[in-house]
Amino acid sequence: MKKARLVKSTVAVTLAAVMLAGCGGGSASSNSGGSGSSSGGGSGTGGGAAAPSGEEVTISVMVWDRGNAAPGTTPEDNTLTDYIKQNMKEKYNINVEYVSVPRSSSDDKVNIMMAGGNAPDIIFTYSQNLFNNFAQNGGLADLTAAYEANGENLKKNQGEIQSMGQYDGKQYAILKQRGLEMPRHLGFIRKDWLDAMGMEIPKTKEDLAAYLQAVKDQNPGGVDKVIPWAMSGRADTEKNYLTFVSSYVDLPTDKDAYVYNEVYMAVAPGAIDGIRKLNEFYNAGLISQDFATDTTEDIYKAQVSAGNVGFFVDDTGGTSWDLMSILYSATGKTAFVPVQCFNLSDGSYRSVYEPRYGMYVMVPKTSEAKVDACLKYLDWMSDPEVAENIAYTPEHQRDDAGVPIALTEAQLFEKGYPGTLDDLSIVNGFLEWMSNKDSVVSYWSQSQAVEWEDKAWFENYYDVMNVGKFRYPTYPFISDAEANYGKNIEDMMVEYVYRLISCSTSEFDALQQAEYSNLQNAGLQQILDARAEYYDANVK
Amino acid sequence: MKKVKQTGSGNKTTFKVYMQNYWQLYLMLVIPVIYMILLRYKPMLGAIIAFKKFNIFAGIWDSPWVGLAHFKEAFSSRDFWNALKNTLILNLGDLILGFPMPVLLAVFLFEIKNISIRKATQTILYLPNFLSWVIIAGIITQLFSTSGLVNEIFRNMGMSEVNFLSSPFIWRFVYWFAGIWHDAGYSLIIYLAALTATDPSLGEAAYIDGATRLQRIWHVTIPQIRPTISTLLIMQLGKMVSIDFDRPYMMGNTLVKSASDVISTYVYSIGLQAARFDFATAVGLFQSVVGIILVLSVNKISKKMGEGGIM
Amino acid sequence: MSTLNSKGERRFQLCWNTIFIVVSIIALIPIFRVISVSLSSKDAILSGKVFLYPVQITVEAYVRAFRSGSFLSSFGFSIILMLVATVVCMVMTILAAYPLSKTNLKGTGIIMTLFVLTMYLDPGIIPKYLNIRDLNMLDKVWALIIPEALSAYNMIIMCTAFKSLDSSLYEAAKIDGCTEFQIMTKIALPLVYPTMATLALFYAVGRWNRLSDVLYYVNSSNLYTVQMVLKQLIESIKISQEEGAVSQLVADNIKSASIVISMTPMVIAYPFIQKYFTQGIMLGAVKG
Repeated sequence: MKKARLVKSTVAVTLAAVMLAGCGGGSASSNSGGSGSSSGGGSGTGGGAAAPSGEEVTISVMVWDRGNAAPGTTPEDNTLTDYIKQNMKEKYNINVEYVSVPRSSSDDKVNIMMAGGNAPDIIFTYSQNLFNNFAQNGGLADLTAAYEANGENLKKNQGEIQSMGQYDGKQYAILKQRGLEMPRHLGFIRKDWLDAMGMEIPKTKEDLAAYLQAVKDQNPGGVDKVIPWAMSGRADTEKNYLTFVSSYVDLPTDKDAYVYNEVYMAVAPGAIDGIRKLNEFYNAGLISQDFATDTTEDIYKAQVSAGNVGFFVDDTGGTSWDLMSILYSATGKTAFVPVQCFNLSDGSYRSVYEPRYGMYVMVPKTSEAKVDACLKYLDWMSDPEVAENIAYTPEHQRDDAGVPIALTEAQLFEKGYPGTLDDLSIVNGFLEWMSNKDSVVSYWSQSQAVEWEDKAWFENYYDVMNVGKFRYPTYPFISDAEANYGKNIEDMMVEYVYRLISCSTSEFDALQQAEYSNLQNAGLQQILDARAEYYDANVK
Repeated sequence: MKKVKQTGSGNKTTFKVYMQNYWQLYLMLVIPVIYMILLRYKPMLGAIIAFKKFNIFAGIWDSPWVGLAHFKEAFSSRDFWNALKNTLILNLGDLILGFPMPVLLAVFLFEIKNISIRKATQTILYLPNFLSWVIIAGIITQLFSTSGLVNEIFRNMGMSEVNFLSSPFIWRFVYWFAGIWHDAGYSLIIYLAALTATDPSLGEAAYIDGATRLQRIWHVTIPQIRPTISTLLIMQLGKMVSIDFDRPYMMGNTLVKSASDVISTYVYSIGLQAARFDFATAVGLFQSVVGIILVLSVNKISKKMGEGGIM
Repeated sequence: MSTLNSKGERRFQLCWNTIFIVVSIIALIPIFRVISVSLSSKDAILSGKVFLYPVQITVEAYVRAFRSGSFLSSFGFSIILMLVATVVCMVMTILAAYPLSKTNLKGTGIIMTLFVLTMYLDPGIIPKYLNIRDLNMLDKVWALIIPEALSAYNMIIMCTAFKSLDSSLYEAAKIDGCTEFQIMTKIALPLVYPTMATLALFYAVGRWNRLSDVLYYVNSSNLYTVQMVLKQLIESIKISQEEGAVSQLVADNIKSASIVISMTPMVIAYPFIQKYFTQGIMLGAVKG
């Protein structure tokens, strides 16, 4: 413990020295680290600091606690927070204090702190609903003027996404820009099985259907219980079916794209044909027969990684890689490759990407007096260089491809850095290397814990990912109906599709009508109407 | 219990004498009563948000009134009544199948002479109580899904598959079974504690009288834990319209929605998920009122039947 | 106990011993599973190979849990908190239950009813939070002790135990000139040791497992209990969907290791509590 603290202090002092050297202005004694935290670092380096501008302000900033602080440190007080505190003090004479909020129940806690009037000066959430609720009820400070005055970097780097933080024409939130651009979901197919059956990589849904049927009939892998297309019954995601179903939906106008979005895609015109097709697959034994009861996804994951599965669609990155790497280490050969075969009616593809904005960063009404200081804090972090220093520690290196080299957890802990550095970088997730294919591929192939697949595989992955790149239009608006019933409808929508996929063919139409009327009763039409109305009134 | 007339010392019972005798008992109650008022009843004032359009920034008192709007919304929704029905069915099953189980276990465990088996069983049966419902639900899926262990065994024995998790009717039994699995150990300890405190010489006497084991259990053991049984029963009956969130939520799936949608999941979907605390509070208030009516009536009935009741 | 040793008795014992062993094994399945998962490799778990015994044994998950920043200090804090909270809860419970068990005491009926009703009242989190704030307990250790210092459920069980005692014992003591308080400590409490031990266990386990108050009422991470730290640890590995496409799977072995670790103190403490069960018998026998 002691050692860690010592190391931490040393690092902080070094950092301070480096920064001071860079400033080279007049001199003023700095009392950084004096924000009540016990950090020894930074203080007493004396002399050489640039005169802090502005009067002294103390702001409190929310920080997520994920239980992975380095030993002897806390999420509120560690080497990285010292670095930020130091900088804010030097540059703006702002003292920064952190308030930790458990990651897993962050929105609930923020809501409750807001209700109690004791939220920190900077809070954040990913929920548009929460932001909208706060803004609508007058709980947020107006950032418009402060953004104009202090948001130079923000405008330059994240300017185009900031309209999402408006309410009634006023800026109530600063949006965090997401990192690497990726589609939400991606399909994977067994290349070795295709080869064994003499088939090409599918380009259309018909090709895919032929492949699935062939897998069922021929069982090219000779496995015990072959599952042509594996799905799970997880209730909180539409990943299993969304890309397939939405390929049956034409979105002739921007309005349609906005109204149905991803969430309401399953009831968009044409979607029912896609669902019917899945039902057909299911009844032909092409889809996991017990997927609906596999709510924890355990069976699904086990089947994919055991190599019993011919095709699956999953979130891009993450889980699917884990599953494939297990299969790879068991068989030692390329098995799955990414595939885009959900052709639209005109033959093109639609691969849905996350919007560029992510987190809503807000200042509560109760902290109105401090908006300028808060904006200075955010603006400083918006600079890609600073963002990279926070996300990879100020002492990180870059590799040949220009990708920052992440420190291992052991290194981070030894130096007193928190386990999730990115949590402190709250406005800019998009770093320079992310716009470059080579860097991204190099990053992927290096970041694998297990050695699996070569560079070519990841290059192909990158290319497939970029086919038919599409983003749904978004606007800073949530109707009352959507705020109240949206979440519930979202859950019901997943149930709606699961039930329709797994019912018997003869029941399909009756069930569809019954389930659809349930959705309507729960407020679906009100939500869709409000979206259309908003579009007509504000966009056109 | 016995209504002993004051102290029975024959004194004229004036208030002063009464207090002289009992002031210590009242003094003991002071702190718990203050606690009850400050931490249980005072926050209940906040439940008036059930009648308001709650704005967290305006606060509980300054939010605008909406009268019974939230209640009307709930009562006019088919989902609400469906959830209420399912809550009652699932709780009734727990009552009929789950409630007697720990009593049976306790009584027979008490008959076991091997002390180490007795102790071990008691400890082990309590252990599942530590596991959250996510874990139990995961295990249930592995055991009971159509590709799970149990169906595997059925198939090997030449029997047909059973849709444990996809047929709402059978799913309910799985739900009840899991409840016993998870919770039986908890009440078991209460009963065992009550049994150990009782007088073993009564049982000995019954032996000498030549009573059979069942007679002894019925006439000696059970009456000893009878007050505990009725206490727990009254409390559980009062909870008929309340239901834990995790158990139905984690164990349910889309195919058994018609059985697994309950009040707690309904409140979560419609209220809490959208931060509609006012609506959630309104449903909570409904549950409180029904719960209070139930517990008061059951208590009264219990007293009429000579079981004593809890208040 | 009885010395009856007939053939029927032996058969009965054998039969029920077997039944209880089987029941215990069934109850142990989830425990076995959790332990196995905690000791297996992530790959083995993902590919569904682990059910009742570990596959590709590794203690990595435990190392990870223990290494996490504040684990050890929060473990110490949790144990002290649990002990203090249990003592506070027991004192409160007895203070309420003993007088209320005297049905002849004026006013107990209404007070008891008010206590019973608290079981059916739930004002929701926001009023509760505001109340804690108004009592000036936010971010203080009291917020983790006081709000749940008295469970009506447990108090009623305690009360039932007191009521089951033979009231002639009290009468005798009263005649001997004991005050009510002396009667309670000297006569009543020793007779209800088993129930006290049970309730102490419930309170201790309740405090040990309870998360919501740690989540809402405190901010400082030095007031986090070990359950909270473990929960955060589990969440830290999962970067939730909303944060972006690149997400890692929650390693199930770490989850399970956390559960095993958090169960351990209770499992160790349980046999000591069990001692009081038999003590109750002996005391009962002596007095009876």
